[in-house]
Amino acid sequence: MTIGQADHPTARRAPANRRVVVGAAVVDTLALAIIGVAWWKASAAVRVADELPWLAVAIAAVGVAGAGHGAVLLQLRAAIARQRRRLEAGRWTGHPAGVAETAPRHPSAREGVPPTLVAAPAMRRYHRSDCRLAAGKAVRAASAEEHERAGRTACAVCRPPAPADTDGPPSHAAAESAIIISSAGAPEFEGQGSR
Amino acid sequence: MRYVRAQWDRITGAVAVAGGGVALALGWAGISHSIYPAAQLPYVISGGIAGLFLLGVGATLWLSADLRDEWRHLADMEDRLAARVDEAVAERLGR
Repeated sequence: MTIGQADHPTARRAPANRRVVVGAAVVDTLALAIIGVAWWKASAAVRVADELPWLAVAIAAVGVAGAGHGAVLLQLRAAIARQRRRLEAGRWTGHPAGVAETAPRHPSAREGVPPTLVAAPAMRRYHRSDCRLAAGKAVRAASAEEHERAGRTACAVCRPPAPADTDGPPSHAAAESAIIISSAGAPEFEGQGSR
Repeated sequence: MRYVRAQWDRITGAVAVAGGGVALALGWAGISHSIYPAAQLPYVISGGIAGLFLLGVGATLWLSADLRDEWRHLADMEDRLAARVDEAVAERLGR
């Protein structure tokens, strides 16, 4: 059997636009009322010629209701396709419990204080000088521009400011991009052996 | 009661499909007992068209329940992946 809905942890999030669902429900109710009126009018008529217009009205009401159903189903399919693309692309930035909101802010990430950015020649990422991933390494300081020119990217853990981002640390999307989910499902850090 | 609340769309869909089937059967019975087309047309509307409408409502509710479940399954996967990334970051910072 399928998953229950009311007690489901993701039940608070709706895959379909509420307005489309409510609109389809309203159209359904109207269609049912129109079918009832058409039946009542056709029953009161004596000649077939007087009944046929009401038959056409009832058929039209069912057609409009069917279009509403189609809109709801298409929207649900589109929501599933979006979710699948997000998963396949590994983009979880909009997630309420994602890295963006939960990753601890690094101690040196203070507003208005330009950090010292360091890296060793073999490193693929540059770090704040007090980053744990740079501790004990033969690092040298340089500007973010110089590190970027050397082909390095910002550390996902200490999140130093990128050259274009002078107002603060880069977005957590960068932090997420540094983490790869392996085929076995276990998260790994990019460049684990060469930091 | 909890099952009914959780599966309201499937239950409503099944009831609508059953109602549509009953409407079609009653419409057929009404038409077969009338010899005048003018007396048969109201049965076409109440039994045939209303029955088809109910079948459509039921099918839509059932399909939408399946699609919602699939969406929730994907959302669960996203939750688990995000949680694992959070754990990995926290573990890394703790070293």
